[in-house]
Amino acid sequence: MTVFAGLGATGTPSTGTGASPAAGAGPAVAVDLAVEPVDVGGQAAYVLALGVMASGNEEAVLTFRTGQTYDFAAFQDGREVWRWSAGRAFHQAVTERRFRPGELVVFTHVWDGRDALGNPLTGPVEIRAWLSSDPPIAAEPAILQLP
Amino acid sequence: MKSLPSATTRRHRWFHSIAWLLLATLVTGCFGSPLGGDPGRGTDTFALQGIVVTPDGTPVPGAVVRVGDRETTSNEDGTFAFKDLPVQGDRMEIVVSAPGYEPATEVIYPSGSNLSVTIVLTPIGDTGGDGSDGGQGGDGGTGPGGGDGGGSGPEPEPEPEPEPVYRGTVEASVRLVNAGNAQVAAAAAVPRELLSSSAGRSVTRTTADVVPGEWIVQLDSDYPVQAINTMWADAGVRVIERLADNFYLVAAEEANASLETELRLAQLPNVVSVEPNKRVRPVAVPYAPNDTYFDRQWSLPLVSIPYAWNVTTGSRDVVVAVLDTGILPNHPDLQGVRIVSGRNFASDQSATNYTDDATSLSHGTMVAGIIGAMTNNGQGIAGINWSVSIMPVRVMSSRYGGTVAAVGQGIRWAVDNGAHVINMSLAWDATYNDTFVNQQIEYAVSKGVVLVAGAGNDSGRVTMPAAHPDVIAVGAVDRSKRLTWYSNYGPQVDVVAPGGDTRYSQANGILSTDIVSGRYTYSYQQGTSFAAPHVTGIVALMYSAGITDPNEIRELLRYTAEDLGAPGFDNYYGYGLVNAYAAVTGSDPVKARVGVASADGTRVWGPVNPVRIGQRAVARVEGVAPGRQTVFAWIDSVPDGVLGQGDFAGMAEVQVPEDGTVSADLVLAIWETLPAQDRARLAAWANR
Repeated sequence: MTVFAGLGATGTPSTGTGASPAAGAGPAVAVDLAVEPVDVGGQAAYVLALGVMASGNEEAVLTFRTGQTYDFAAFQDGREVWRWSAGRAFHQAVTERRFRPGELVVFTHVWDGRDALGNPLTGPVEIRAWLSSDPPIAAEPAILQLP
Repeated sequence: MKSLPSATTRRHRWFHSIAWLLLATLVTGCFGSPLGGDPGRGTDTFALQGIVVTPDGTPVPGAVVRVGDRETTSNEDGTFAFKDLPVQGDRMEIVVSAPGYEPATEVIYPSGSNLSVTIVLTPIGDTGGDGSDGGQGGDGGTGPGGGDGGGSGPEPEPEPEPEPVYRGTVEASVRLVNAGNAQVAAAAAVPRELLSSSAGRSVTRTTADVVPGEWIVQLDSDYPVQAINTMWADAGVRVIERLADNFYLVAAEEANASLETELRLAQLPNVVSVEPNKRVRPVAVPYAPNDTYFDRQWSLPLVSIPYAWNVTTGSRDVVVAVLDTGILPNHPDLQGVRIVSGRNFASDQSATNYTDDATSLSHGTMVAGIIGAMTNNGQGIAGINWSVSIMPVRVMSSRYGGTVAAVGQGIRWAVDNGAHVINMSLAWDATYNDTFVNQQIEYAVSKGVVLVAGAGNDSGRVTMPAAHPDVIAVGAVDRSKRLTWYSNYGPQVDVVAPGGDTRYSQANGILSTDIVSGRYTYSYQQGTSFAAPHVTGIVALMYSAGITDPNEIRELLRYTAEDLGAPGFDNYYGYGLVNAYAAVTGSDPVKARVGVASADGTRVWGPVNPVRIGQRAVARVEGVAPGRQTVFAWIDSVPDGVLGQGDFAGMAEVQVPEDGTVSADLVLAIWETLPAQDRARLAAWANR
């Protein structure tokens, strides 16, 4: 799995504007999504990884309205079929998180390839990921071909 | 020392006044002429003192007494005094008026250094005589002629004029406001019982004012009152009544009893002890505990919590479950807080490990601190409850959140293990419908447990669990009582409470117990997470004050809230900003007494009680005369039957039509926060 392989990496990571309470202030963060199939106890699963790095030479400060920092979701035929945060509760304190330049922060989740009801999905699935900051910062979606 | 209830004190003042009146009449009869020295000598100024009473001797407080261009108001015992009144001719008039009484004019002949008068006011409609009957007396009695003060025989009473029929109506909508960020009193002598860890109790603060000229005297045995008065015939005091055993209430026979009188009393035969009688009245004092950062906790005065501490400071018998990230039980400002055994339902720690694993921002510790950090311990912050039991129920990790299922398990466990109130400063999307957690919420309600949750921080619709109809949903306001930039809103919002706004200044956040980089400390934060525990803390106070029915709790929180935003309920502020003092005293606006007073204060229509119309408390006073009148209302929050300290009161000017209705928005505030002039007028109308 490659997430932000450095300046020499191929591909163009998505960039977003770092959220800041004051409009137009603060440097940006770059976010990228990587999806890697794995075998978990003989069952197919997928590591979803959202990488975040300050895109400039300065620290990026992002505001989060709740305790939720990130989210992953799966879409098929344009319809959301699974979301990581569904059924999860988060504290309701507004917080800030700092991302230092050159520091890669990765949020991961191992997804079992099933929808919200537990049914296995097949065929192409679009995986989306974003930082749950204010405003949200989304990575380029990744297409996953499920058997 | 034995203190008398106020009713008894009033009755004794009545006796005292009658005695003084009879003595004054006797003196006037003996002398039969204006007193005060040689009329020819005179001085440029003189002192005048007196008492305003009804024909039966009851003191009239709040009466306006005018002499020349000087004016004063009679005290609660009816007395008044002027110093250095300029002598304006041989003859001067004293004009006295009071709401509900016929005005009276008394003539005096100032020539000496001291004059004393007794003014008798007749209630309006009373056919027992005019206001000047026996209206002179004292040791400086004045007035023309002598004898018994009247000078003429009884005259036939004129036929009373028929009362005119008025068709004006005043419709008043009654609501309350918080005390605000008033200066709080120093807590130099916080009563020790506030620091008690005992079972639930309410504490009523009192103040004791000395009643001049009255003492509680202990004799060496119990004697008949008449016998004592005979024995003390020349002592200048008389026994009013025997209180109990060998304790007696004794009053001076002269209006201005001095220390010398008290000393003389102490030396009378058979006297064991002498103590001044005192009038004990409940008060409402905004307490300031000695916690280091209390002055940074703007959110507590904003919702009248220091005033609520007059009624109760909480109880260890009240158990508050904090469903959160766990707590840090070793935080210095939680030492001494009763933390009952908790539980963990998040998957990253064992079931018995309810400790928060955060090294920075311990959300659960901050929430618990707002509800019940140690108060008045000389450090840290003041918790809303000085005494409470905290039940930490860990349902989420600081880093990863938790599951709705864990929240449901936490609710069930808290209820089954004795929680009275559950705080949930957490949320999930309201579109996620979970039958399990809904059932646990309903189970909690069936067991009489109160649930409180923050409305959420998405600037959008209210999230779950706050959106559940059985959960008290709390939105957030900032220091200026404005809805915060992040607070959710919608028809599910019950009330708002301080959640803070740190965008431009940390000091505008909510300060509480926290951990930063592994070090126990305090930090400012913002969010509906911190609004909810304000309400939870107030609910715990209400519980300790004996208000335990969940429906009553919810209704009181709603109807005593300070209306913000659009009048009445609205989707942004719900019913308004919670008011802790109003809530713990049960000061529902429908309990108000509403009246209308005429411009000159001589006529009062009402009182009537409001009725609930929608969310409003509305009172209609009918049959009011047209013109400029004043509608007023008060709530006997300190239930002593008298408008005074600790009660809510307010007034508003209205223009009453000849035939129709005028509406008024009547805002009631805590008595102590009202202007002195308003207090005087309100007391005169309400306590007649």
